[in-house]
Amino acid sequence: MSYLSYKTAEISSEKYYKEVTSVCPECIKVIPAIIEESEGKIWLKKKCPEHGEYKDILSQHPDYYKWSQNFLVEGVAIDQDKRCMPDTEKGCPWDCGTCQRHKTTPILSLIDITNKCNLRCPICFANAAVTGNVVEPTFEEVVKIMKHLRSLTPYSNIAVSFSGGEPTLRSELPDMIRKAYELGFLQVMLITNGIKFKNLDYCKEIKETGLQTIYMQFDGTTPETWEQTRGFNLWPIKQRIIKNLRIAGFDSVVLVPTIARGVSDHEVGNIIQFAIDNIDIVRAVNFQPVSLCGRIPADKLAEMRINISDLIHKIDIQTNHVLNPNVWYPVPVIAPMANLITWYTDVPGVDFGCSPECGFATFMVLNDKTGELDCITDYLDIPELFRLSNKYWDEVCKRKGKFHRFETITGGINEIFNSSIPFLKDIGKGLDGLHERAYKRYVMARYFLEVLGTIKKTGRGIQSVSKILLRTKWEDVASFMYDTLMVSCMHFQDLYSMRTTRTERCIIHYAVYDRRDNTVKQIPFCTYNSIHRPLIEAAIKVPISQVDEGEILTMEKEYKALEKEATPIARD
Amino acid sequence: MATEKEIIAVLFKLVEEGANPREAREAINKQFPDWNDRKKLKPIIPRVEKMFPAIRQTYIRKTSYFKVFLVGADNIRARGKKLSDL
Repeated sequence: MSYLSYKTAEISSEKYYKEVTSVCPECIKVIPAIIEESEGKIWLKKKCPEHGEYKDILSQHPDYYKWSQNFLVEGVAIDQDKRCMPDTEKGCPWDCGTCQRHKTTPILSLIDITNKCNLRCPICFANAAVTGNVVEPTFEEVVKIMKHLRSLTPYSNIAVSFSGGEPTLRSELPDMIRKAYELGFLQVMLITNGIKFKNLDYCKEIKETGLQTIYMQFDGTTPETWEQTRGFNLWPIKQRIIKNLRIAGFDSVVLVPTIARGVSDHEVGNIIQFAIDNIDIVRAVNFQPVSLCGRIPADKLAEMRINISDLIHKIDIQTNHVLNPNVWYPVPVIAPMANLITWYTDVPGVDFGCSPECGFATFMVLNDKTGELDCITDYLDIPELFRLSNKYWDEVCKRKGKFHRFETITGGINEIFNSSIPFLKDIGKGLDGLHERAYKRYVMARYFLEVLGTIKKTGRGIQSVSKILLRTKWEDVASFMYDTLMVSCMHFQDLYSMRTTRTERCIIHYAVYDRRDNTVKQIPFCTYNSIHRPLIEAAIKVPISQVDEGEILTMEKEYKALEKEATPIARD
Repeated sequence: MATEKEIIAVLFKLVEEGANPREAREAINKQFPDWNDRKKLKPIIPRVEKMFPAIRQTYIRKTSYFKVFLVGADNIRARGKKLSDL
């Protein structure tokens, strides 16, 4: 298989067809489905014996879809003894926890620490005010979850994110962040609407915990968009929040726009420009096409559905073709390179072996001489880098575990002479260690030399490669993110678009404490929101009437204050 | 014509109040049009930086705040145009 950019790849003219497994959106039973190219689109079609036929658009751009499938890679599966769910008759996606079939390790785990929220978004159905119940794991349960994540093997989880509801409404949040660092997480994030950060003192309080990344809801740059998505004009407040985060010393903010067709899809260029204007602290924009929850008629579904390829084409137009479809790559493109770095250095392992359909990304790089933002693809031949990384990673995998030659020989000598000279075994081990280290250097030297050939422009190109490949600390690799802006799209599945082939490769998990059997479970993001959330939360939820009145009043008070503060839109 | 001292004071205040690099540069360009020049601004940057506590100086350098500021308000763009002007 050849790995080429979308621009240069020869894409098969054969109509795409694949048999997969999905679920019925009505009864959530596992049913067979097909992915099929027809009418110039890629469709997911399925039929439930009880509830009839369903079809959903997976891509409006079949060639783009077919090209992206080239980047499927093997993930690094969690060791069997760390999986708490046996296979059942119901099968994937009902066995999440993870089950025996899951093919990857989570790159990021989310912990919902409350469902309380200080907003009442028209599109949200899960907050405490709507459901009438408060769902909060205890501090001790959150610690148990984090300890479990750190204990995963072969790749221990290094990134955790606190989410909700609105996690800043949980008074123990600062303690939870501190605990996460104490347990060894390298990246702690907060998924937030940011409202609490309009208070500068709160920004400083959270900054003091060491929190690195704020993953902030960010729907657009016009009052009208905010009014449509969140119920009132939050635009001036969001601008204030960004300033406060800068004053408090945060240097890693990720803007997270939820993109809905006809609501915020005209804003993608503006959002990227806002990120560029704030490139000192905004590290990334992560667009998320809206996932459709609830039951939707077929015609409405086709009208509302927006997926990654749609979004990439909209970004292309709204960025004057700077971020055109040729500069985007599916997330797994980085997987073999990440595996090589982990194998060679002290950088902890991170698995990018998700489905190529889960997310796409690209990087913009600030050229301080011209003042222009270039694409990473101007500096590096990404498909060639991927091909080389894959080649070397394959070579390493074939050789892995074969470094016991000297230990075997010395063990044999011991056996032959019926002796037990302990140091003989140690000598064998030592020689094997030396052999392995020499082999690592040999592979990486060849790899690095070949990678040099993928550099298109010197300067930033060499800097990027050397930062990632030659340095051996997490901080050094992470420093690549400065002076750059990552633009990415992540499309979560809903019951209409779900395929188990994607689910079993999920690398973003919710980590929950299941009080039904007192276990910590890791549940793929999409299946948690579509299937498992109500089941897990049923065992935790407490009716609002039974919760400390003060807490609820605080939540209500904050919402009312915000409603009052939000700038009304001037209308003629 | 504004003095270096005045520019430094205004720039310091802008950074302290959380203005982004583009806003800061726009404000300087507007208030002191004769200072809209990267070469003129570059030498005063270390003096502005030094007005902040050490921890803040590290932060400013890490985020390349003044590197972006020097690029220029209208120039921080994606090949040719401000995206919001498209």
